Amino acid sequence: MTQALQDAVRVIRTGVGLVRHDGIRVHIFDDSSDIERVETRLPMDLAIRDGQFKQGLLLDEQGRPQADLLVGLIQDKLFIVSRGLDAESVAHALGGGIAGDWDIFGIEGPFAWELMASWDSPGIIGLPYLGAFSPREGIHILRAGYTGEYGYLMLIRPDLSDAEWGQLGALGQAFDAKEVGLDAIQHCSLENWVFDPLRDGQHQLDALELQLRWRIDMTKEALGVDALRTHKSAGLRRRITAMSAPSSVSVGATVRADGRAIGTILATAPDLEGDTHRVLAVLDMPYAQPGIDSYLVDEVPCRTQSAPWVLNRSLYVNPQRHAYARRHDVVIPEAR
Amino acid sequence: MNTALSTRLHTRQTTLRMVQELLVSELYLEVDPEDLDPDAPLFGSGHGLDSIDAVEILVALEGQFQARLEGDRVDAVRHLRTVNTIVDRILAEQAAQ
Repeated sequence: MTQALQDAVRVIRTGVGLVRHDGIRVHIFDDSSDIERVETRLPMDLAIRDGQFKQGLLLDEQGRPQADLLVGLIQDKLFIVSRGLDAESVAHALGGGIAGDWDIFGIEGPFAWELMASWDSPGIIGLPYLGAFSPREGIHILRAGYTGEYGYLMLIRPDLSDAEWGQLGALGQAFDAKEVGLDAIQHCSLENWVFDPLRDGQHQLDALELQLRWRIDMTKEALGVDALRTHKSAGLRRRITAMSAPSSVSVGATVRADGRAIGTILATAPDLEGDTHRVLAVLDMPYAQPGIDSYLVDEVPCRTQSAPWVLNRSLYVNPQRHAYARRHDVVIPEAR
Repeated sequence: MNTALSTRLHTRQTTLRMVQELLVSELYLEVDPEDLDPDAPLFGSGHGLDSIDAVEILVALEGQFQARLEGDRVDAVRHLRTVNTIVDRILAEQAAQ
């Protein structure tokens, strides 16, 4: 891990990181017949109120996630915020629609709420997780992120983006906010067990194997759901599992128990100190349990564990009581 | 599979299943127990539970497993993150007894 990446991850984990996202598409539907059509094509329950989003997926025919979705309503318009597919592929999957031209900013960190309160108003602190609103013409705010910390996505019309990016940077100085790269977001996303379609979606695993059953309405007839029902009936044979290793292991390497191949490494990243490596593996079902320390990957002993790998500071930051200026008041239990 | 590993996996799987069944029954969730992804977040995203559910979970776990997860808020936040972290806590308590 480079020093720059370490610094960026530390900013996200302790303060506020600002990122310009690339690869997030936004499709907006305001015609009721379009919304009805899109609803039938999404493999998720779309019972949502205005100003509320849900996490979803686009599946292929075999139930394998192709895109990570945030789906919600803002002022009665249906927003599909996606990662993993190009705009045309998303539109094709939804049966139509044109991606809007939006810049996407991410504001991530245990004190992201404080920066957003100074950018908008203290009322934004009350915005619930996956809540959304439009504070100004051409700007939509979603309380969502990809790092397990307090996170906001700002969807912003391109002609407004330079000014607002500058404003965030200027206001962020009070919180030592720094611009971070997408590599830092991806690193934190792995550490926090956040599904990344470009990382986790390339291994031919379906939503059940990826532990994304919670995003699926198994009663729907959308693409891929029938395959998941069939798979569930047959019984799951493998599942992604979190592991830790004392040294680096290779993506694609075989996980063994008692000399027998039981799984494959899907992704890996060192922790900030480089002492251990976070390892995402897919393991055969009898073996896909945390707390086992007898598995080997190329002679490196690995321990399975419960996800995620990090205990987020945001879990212990209370916007009613804490502030970045008094950040040392936040009590964090020792990392495991 | 050697006996020690087999025993540990069996214990883990059995406890996982019991916790999944307890959550579904106590919280009246409309899913099959095995549909609760063991590493998905219980609160916020994931299974979408709230603070009222957290209290129900703590009471139910103490009743069934004599597991005291609520020692203090700092610990409860850690142990109630996922089904698997609940299982971690129950097994740790049982090992300490």
